Amino acid sequence: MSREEQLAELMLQWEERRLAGIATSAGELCEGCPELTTELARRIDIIESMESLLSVEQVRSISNATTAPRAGGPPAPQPTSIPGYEILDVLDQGGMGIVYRARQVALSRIVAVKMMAGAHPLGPRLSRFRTECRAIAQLHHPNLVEIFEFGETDVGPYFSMELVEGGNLNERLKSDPPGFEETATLVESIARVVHEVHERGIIHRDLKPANILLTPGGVPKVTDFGLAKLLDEESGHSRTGEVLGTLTYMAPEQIDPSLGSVDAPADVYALGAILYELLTGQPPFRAMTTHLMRQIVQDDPPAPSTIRSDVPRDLAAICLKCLEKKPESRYASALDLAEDLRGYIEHRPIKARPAGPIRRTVKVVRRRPELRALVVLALFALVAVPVAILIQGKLDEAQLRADAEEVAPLARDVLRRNCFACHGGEQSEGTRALDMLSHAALLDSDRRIIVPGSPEDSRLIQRISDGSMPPAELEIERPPLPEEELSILRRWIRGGAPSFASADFESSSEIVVERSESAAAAKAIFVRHCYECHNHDLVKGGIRILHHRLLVNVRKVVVPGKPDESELLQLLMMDSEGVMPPAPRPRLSKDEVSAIRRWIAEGARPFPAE
Amino acid sequence: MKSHSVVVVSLSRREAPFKMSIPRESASVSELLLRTREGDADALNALIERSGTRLRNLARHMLNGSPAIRRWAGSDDVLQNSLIRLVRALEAVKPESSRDFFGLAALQMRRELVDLARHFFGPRGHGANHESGSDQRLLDAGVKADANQPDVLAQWAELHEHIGQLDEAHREIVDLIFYQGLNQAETAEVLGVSVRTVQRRWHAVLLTLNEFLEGSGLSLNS
Repeated sequence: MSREEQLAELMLQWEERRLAGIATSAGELCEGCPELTTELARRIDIIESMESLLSVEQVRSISNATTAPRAGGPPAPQPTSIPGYEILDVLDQGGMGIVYRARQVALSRIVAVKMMAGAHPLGPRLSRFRTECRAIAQLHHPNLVEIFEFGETDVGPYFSMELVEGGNLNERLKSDPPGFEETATLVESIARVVHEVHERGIIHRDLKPANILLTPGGVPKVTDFGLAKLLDEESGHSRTGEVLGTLTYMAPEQIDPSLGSVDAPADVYALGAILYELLTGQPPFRAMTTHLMRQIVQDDPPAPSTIRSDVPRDLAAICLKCLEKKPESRYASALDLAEDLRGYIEHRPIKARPAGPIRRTVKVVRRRPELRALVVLALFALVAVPVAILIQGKLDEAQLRADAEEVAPLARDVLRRNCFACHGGEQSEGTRALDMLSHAALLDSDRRIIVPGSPEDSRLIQRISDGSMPPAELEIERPPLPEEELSILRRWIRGGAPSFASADFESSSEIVVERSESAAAAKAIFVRHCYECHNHDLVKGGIRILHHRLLVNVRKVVVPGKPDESELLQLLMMDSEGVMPPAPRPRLSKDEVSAIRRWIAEGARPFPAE
Repeated sequence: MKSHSVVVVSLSRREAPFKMSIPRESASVSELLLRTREGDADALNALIERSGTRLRNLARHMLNGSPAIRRWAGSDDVLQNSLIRLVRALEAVKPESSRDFFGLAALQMRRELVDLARHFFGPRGHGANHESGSDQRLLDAGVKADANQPDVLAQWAELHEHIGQLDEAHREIVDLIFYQGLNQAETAEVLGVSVRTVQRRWHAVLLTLNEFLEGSGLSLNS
């Protein structure tokens, strides 16, 4: 055996003992070959320091690897004592630290004490943490878990807080879901206290049912205010697991920072998601992590009534307003949300769903039964309104209706041209979340995409007008609507958004694609090499290689005109880092890679249909 | 790599009806691999999520060594963007085997880490240009910019790039143990080799990487 082989064998022996938890020196291993001791010791030292550098711990089990802090990071604190407190037992233990049930000796009261894992006392954000702790501690509110004291031990900072022993909202949801009235009251209480804390400049960022504790009497109390993110920043712990794990209640701007800064509206979104779950028994979006992130950022949640048909429409509207993608489209504050919930409870009109005169009257009558006789009289008076006015009104209405029916086919074409490619464009993709040519889907009263008679209240018009639709990313193919097209949509909606004529969309307005030779060549290569794995018929088949819009606009694996920035090309390249097609499939030839490059360089034109 | 921006479109409903059937904390990599091989999309998702977690840990580990990053408050957002790009990239392809999956994931992670390092270091990096001298909290905490400090992030970028140029057998070991955080037994299972082979290659590649660092005058581990 050569010297090198001997050393390699000794390293294996050392590794075996290390994994078994037995500390072994080079000297012990080299008893029969002392001349190798120095070199073996050097190599062991290199292995250990390199593993430390690379944040690799071989001894640690993999289940810990996903949640534990980086190698060499501090373990969860296990204090034997906290000055002034007598530890009774552990209430909860997680990545952020441990929560103990403890007796505060001086006041002889039972409290919860949270020890934070790995927050270094000299860390740059600890002073900010203290400031916010103090701000919360000064805020006494029946719906807030009170913080009593903040301190530091030799293993890290801690704070003591009110012990709330009635479980949390998550447990309540599973065991005894509240009714609609109670739901409105619960969320109203939570929204009011969230507003109070916002007023002090603190954003929770992690509101979820598990963070709403309940007293034995059912009073909700918000906890962990402003702590989670700060703790995360301080400890260097991976927040990814938690970001991914609690996405359900997270606002779009928290997932994609390019959508805006995370501010009070993010908490309003979370309150809406909690409300949604209380109303329907399920969160707004349910999917595995990777799909969930996309859904939260891109998709409208299903109307609550589609999940549970008896959800009151006002509550559904309040909920959906909280869940708007754009922060500025949500309630301006948590207080506004609370007020709307109060409006629902007291049968008053709500902001999320402006009431027409009849609904407003019904609400007043429900609120004040003594007005019933008056209303009957008023209704009688209405019948007596001069016939001429009525007829004139009817004539106006009829004119608007006739105009709308006339422009309905044009409106359909406008939708087809501008929206259908994203919302319902390809039959091969199956049912769309929103088919822009489905009259019923457009007029769904909860979604308010089209509010017949009121273009101003129609989200379609609002989103086109504010420039958010068609989205800017699609600008090359879908430019903003010209005013005349927008005007057609307005006329159609103002006249009641009559159904489209029974024209055949597919035959009447085919999109004409100019033939491109480079696109045809690329398509042929994709069909030859990629189509078996990435085709339209694979339900879970990842990217559909012949789906031009997905490649170019949605996934952006192809950047038109920029082959070197196109991930697709990098994956296909022949040099060392190419990984597609995976073995044992043959890799693309140089000519084929060049053909793909040419296609992208020439603008990645759409594939020909044949 | 070009930053992905989000396109506001509704995607096919076919992609939506997944159920949270995986107890992710308890599913071992072996179990996830087995289920992935059986075509379980949930298991694949759990593996993707796992890679995301590892990327975050590695990025934090890398960035924590740089005073420039500690004084730039937005690093968390940049990390989040990287994470989202990684998840999307992994989601966009469907490798045929677990070995392919981990190989691709490691490749993407290496790119993201190099991008992150480049994002922050150098005269045009965000960290270098961010003026934090007036941030009293950081000064209180003893965090000061040091113009003479070796550019740790540039060195990390070099190390990641060097790993990308290793021969395939050794690079795969680094991919799985370093980038993916697998232990030796899991690595052996993915590669279909014995644990001792994994150990032998791992020791060899660490000695090689150490030589590279010393030969380049890099001081990451000093």
